[in-house]
This record gives sequence, C-alpha cells and structure tokens, in this order.
Amino acid sequence: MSRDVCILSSGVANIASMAACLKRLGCTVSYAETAQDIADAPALAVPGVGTFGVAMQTLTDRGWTDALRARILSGQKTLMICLGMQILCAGSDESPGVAGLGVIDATVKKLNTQKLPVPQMGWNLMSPARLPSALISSEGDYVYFANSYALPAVGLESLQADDGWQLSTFAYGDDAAYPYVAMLRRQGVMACQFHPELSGKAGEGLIQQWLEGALC
Amino acid sequence: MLTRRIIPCLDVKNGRIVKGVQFKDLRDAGDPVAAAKLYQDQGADELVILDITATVENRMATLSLVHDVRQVLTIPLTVGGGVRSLADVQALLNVGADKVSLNSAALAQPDLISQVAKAYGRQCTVVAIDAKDGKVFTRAGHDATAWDVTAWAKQAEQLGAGEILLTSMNRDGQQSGYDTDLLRAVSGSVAIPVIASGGAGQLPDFLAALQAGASAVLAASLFHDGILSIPDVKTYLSQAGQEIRP
Repeated sequence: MSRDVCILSSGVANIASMAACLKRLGCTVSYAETAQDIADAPALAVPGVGTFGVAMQTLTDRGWTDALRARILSGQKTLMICLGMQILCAGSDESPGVAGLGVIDATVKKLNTQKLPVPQMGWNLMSPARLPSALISSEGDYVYFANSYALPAVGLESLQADDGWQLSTFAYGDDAAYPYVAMLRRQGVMACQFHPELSGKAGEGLIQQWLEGALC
Repeated sequence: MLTRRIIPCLDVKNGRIVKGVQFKDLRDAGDPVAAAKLYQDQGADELVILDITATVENRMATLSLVHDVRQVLTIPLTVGGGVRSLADVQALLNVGADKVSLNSAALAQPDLISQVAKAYGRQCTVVAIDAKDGKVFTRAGHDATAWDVTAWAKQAEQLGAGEILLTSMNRDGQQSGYDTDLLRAVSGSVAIPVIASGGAGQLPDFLAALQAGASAVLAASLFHDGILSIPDVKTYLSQAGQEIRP
C-alpha cells in the first residue's frame, strides 16, 4: 500500500495540520505543483479554507479543475476536506454564479439556524458512524466541524441509490429533521465537511481507512 | 447536536509554559508538547496557546513551539498573543495553528480582522476581548479603550470574526466563577460562538457559563494546578444535561 500523499495547496489553507496528521500516520507528504501531479498522485488530499469562489478561482487559474474532476469521477484515492467537499457541488450560496466541480448536482447552502451560532464550531455527531468499531466505543463518532455553509442532505437520496455514494449526515440548526452532508465516500474518494485531521483518534481512523482503501 | 467545548489554555513565554502545569505525571511541567498531549488524552476539545511575550526573538521560539505541539496534537489549535499582521497570521498557520486570535492589533487596526477573514476564512479568525467593568482593554489589559464590550464584539463579528474569546479581567485568576452577566450580554448580541474565559473555580461555574450562552469554556490554572481535570468537568456537564463529547 502506498503511503505517499500529495497535498493540493491553495496557498492559503492551513495545510500544516493536514501534513502533521499524515506524517503521524506514516505517510510521506508532497505538494502538488502541476495538473500532472494532481492526475498522477497515488493519493491526493485537498484541504479547503477560504470561500467557494476563491477556491474555484484558484483551481481555474492554475488549470487544475479538469484533472481534479477527472480523478474524482474515476474514483482515484482523493480526500476532500471542508470547502474541499463543497466544491464537489454545482455551486454554493456563498459565491453565487460560481460553478463548482459539478460532481454532485446540488447547491451548498448557509446553515439554516436562528438560534445556534454560525459558524458551527466544534464537535458534532456524524450519522451513521463510519468509524472502525474500536474507535466508536472509545471516542464516539464525534468529528470536528468549522463551517458556515453545508450541503443539505434532503433530496440527495439518489446519490446513494443511483450514483453509489455512501452518505453520512450531521444535524445543525433549528430543524433537526433537516440534516446536512457530513461525509460522502465512493471508491477511493472521501469527502468530509468536517476536519478529519483535527478530529482526534476518530479522524485519524477515518484517514487510515481512506489510505488503506478499506472504506466501510 | 453540536457539543460544548472544554478548552485548556497554555500561556507560554520563550517557548515554555508559564503559570506552571503541576501534573504529577508530567516529568517536565514547563514542556508545552507534553502538556498538550496530556490534555488531548484527557479529552480536551481544542487547545489554545497564548504567547505572552512580544519580542521578535521570543516570537521565533513560539513558532517553533507551535510546530512541535502540532506534531502530536490531533485536535484544533488556536494561537494568540502579539499577532499584528497578516504575515504573523500566515507564519502561525504555516507551523500548525488552525485559528489565530487577534486582540490589541485588531483594536488598533480593525481592518486586520477583515483581512484575516478574507484571506483565511471566518472560521480561522478569533477575536479575543479583554473585558473589565464593561469596557474593552488593550495591550494585555494595560490600557482601557473607549469600546463598550458588546459594541466591540458586534463590530468584530461584522468585520469577519468567526469566534469571540471573551476574558473577564475582573474574574481572571479569582476562581469565583465566570462573569455570566457579561457572557449573556455578549453572546446575546452576536451570532458567532463565544468562548468563556476568566474565573472558573468550581464545576457549577462551567455549567453557569454555558447556560449564559457560551459555546465553549476555557480554563488555564484550574487545569494546570490539578484542582479540576477535564474529565471531571466533562462528566459533571454531561450529567447536568449538556451535550459533551465523551
């Protein structure tokens, strides 16, 4: 199993946490410099910080959009985090008019709450739990979120039924019956709204699963 | 549901912890890496490091310290103290901070909040407020400003702060409880999370802060001195019906 992971750096993301996490898991870390790196990396991590519009603009300016979309569609080992997950979508209310990668035909929305603080900042439950059972018993399936926008899970049933995406959700907001997408996985692709690299043993367990290609 | 966060805070100087951490199982009580690891193992939800030095040479020690802590830390890390520019923020993020806390520099130059939020996102931008008798203080609490605490909190939010770290100078170190009136006033006037700081002494103090609207509770010497442990606080809050990460 390869332990080489390439990080796609947007230039402003705090990639140090991601790199430290991967190194703890025994990985050798490199950084993408060309579209070819993105196409060829045995494993690619895409941390996302900033806004939807800026992230897409950066990918476009560097000519990386097609290579990234292609590797996600072909199921190559790719980890998309936070905003990295959101850019899989067609667009986001955060940056109206900006097209995302369009792998998921849905729009990212602002968290719908009057009562709770935005951004959502802290540890929330992911359901269903996707962690190795040993970790669930010790630490629970709590993972760390820091986001103001998210992808509503309502209406995405076909993603799971027809498109083969495995879906986990989280609840945040005034309406508990209005969940958002916490994680999407298909083949080698793992896209998380939360930050697995900051989610303690649970997060490391998820990244380990991703590295081993043993998504459960 | 989102859980409430318990956050230990390390005050550091020259790369070492001041306000000693007195755990008997720590061989070197001044070692921030050992302390960070211990708190993480005890269930800390985040860690805050405050650099109480300001000179350039000490700054390098802090960057090196943050780097070393990051190598073992698997939870979010906020770093504050002496952050004056976008370059300072980038330097801290480069070595492993996830969020950066702005205080005096944001008061002197409020646009810094917008710059940081625009470059790195709201979730990265913490504004620390030192409050005394309803007013905001600057330069580590030395100088009073004309800002009313809630007005400055609102202004910070509007400029792009993603979180307020609210320290009551009246209560800091007193262990007589957080200033719940202050917490209620500030958390009631902003929509972003508020971290309660200053005054924790007993278990009910943490509950009172959360009930007053805090999203998270921070403590330093209480944990360092071993008066209460993070598991003590988590168990208590959980039994009191608060959502807490086990």
